[in-house]
Amino acid sequence: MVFKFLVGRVAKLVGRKVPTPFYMILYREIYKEILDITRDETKAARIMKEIGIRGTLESSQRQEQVLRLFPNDPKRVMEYLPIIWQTLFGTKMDDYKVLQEEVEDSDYPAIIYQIAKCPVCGGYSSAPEDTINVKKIKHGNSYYAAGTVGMLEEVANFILETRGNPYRINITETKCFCRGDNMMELYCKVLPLEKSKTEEEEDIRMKRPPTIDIDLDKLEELFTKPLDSIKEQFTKLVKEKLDMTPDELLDHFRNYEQDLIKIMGFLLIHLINENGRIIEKLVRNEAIAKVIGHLYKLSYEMSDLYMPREVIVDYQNLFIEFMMGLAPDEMVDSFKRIPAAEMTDLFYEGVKKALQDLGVNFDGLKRNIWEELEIQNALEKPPFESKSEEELTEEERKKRAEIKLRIIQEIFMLLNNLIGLPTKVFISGTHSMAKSMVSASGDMFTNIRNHIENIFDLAEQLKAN
Amino acid sequence: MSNYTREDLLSKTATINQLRNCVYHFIKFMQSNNVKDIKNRLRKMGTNIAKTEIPLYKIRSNDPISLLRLIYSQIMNSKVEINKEGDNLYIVEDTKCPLCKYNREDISDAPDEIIVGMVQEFLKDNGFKVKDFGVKDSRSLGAVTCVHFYEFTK
Repeated sequence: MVFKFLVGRVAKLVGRKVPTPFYMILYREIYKEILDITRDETKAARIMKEIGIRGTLESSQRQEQVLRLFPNDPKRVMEYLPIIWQTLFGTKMDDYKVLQEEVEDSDYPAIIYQIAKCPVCGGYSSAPEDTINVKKIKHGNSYYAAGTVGMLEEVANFILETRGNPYRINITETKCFCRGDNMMELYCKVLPLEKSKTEEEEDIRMKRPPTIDIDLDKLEELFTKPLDSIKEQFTKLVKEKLDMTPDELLDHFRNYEQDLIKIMGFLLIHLINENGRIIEKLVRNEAIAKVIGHLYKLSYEMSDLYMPREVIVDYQNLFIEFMMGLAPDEMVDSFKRIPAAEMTDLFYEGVKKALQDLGVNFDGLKRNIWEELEIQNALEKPPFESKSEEELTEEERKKRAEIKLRIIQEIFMLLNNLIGLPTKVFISGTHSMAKSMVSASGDMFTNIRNHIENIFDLAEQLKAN
Repeated sequence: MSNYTREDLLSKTATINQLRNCVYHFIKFMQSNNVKDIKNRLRKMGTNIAKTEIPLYKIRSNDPISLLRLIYSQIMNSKVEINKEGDNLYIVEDTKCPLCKYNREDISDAPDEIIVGMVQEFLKDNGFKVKDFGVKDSRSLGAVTCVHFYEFTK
């Protein structure tokens, strides 16, 4: 769960996004130029794959610490191909089927991905500039997606290399829309290192000590100490787990300072969620997911009202102080240049992305929470199945009024909890007690859940009366 | 099963980081194969990209600044700063150019040549006569930001 989030989502935030047509048509033009130079489709496909590998090796080396979070097992790495796909292309691998095939004299079966929709070939041959004839590529080579196959293969192999694994994965595109096939098919085969292509640098990588996955408990522990200790603990954790200095780690985010703030908001929600997966469990209920969406909106709108500007500026200063000495100076200067209000917006944006990932659908929200829960209707008129006011006995009328009052009370309690959420989080932060922050937020979410449940129970009672 | 069309892909985004590196390795590949006139080849690639994209996007404007802003934002998701110098010269600054991030000391031509080749084709499609265009600065060649220029005929 944690590494899925780190790999899939953080990469999404940090990556430079472009509209897919620009990506795919640029890809086509590179391929066409290589074909123009080589005058041989098969050779062009091989060079395209090699260029994909080289371009990805460079990125993988920069993102090594994230890729080390993948499991050290070729079969599992192959199973994670959709995540690698998403990391590389920024879009999900849509509508795919996974098959297995036993391979003679191999410790691992081959894994075959049959993909019904391929963005690389998408729309190919609809323009006069689509001139590559992949049917001329000899069997056994990848076809139009050769470059992207190289990218996928390199990520998979880089993971295995850095984890000191003695196997490598070979990926070939065996079916291609551009060739007239009705799907894209990727055939992934595991080979022992000695049978795969070997390079001198691989021996060097093999000697790297394998690292272990990040333990979230350590993150909590890290935040239980005052600022200087946090810096010390943070440095130690980054060195121990990622085998690099904080300066090197944060340098990955140079020129992406805004994204780093978003990631913090994003991480906060996931960190809270890790504590018993409370948010994830809550949003399984559609109504509660909507309430959480409204909570977010309310909290965001209220942040200006309830958090004095000085407090926000103070927190920005605290954050900058934390970064000083850890991040490159140039990066700290960039953080100083971000206005405090923008920092809050970026933080909330990260929170929103995390909530969306966990299942909150912001697009489907109505104007306000009352409309969403249809509470107004419940208070104004009796529900369909219930008796009309005239039919009620004195006792029933009294009970109904009591329920309505309790609903209003619960709503007020719920609002108090919502409004109090940022305050609690910030106060906990002031006291450098992220652990209490996590538990305070946990308590808070439990309270919120209880109040929401109470509202629903009361609405049911109202219906029954 | 039917695959995506280019129209389907209009609403999707892709992470260009790896492909950006591929463009660099592609330029190195051309250099190592003694390919002549790399700059014009890159520009031609841009022109071809535009030719395929023009029917998809239908970007239209009579105002050069609005048009340049639309092209950079809709095609590449870039927020650019545009300055006009004199009557006909437009300078476009892109701090987060999709094809440049790191200083590449071993390439002769900037990947931005693809972009300027593409943008000038969009400008022509809108009726502007482009007298000159090019890359003034590129992050790939060591500059802090990427700066492109487009000069129109009066």
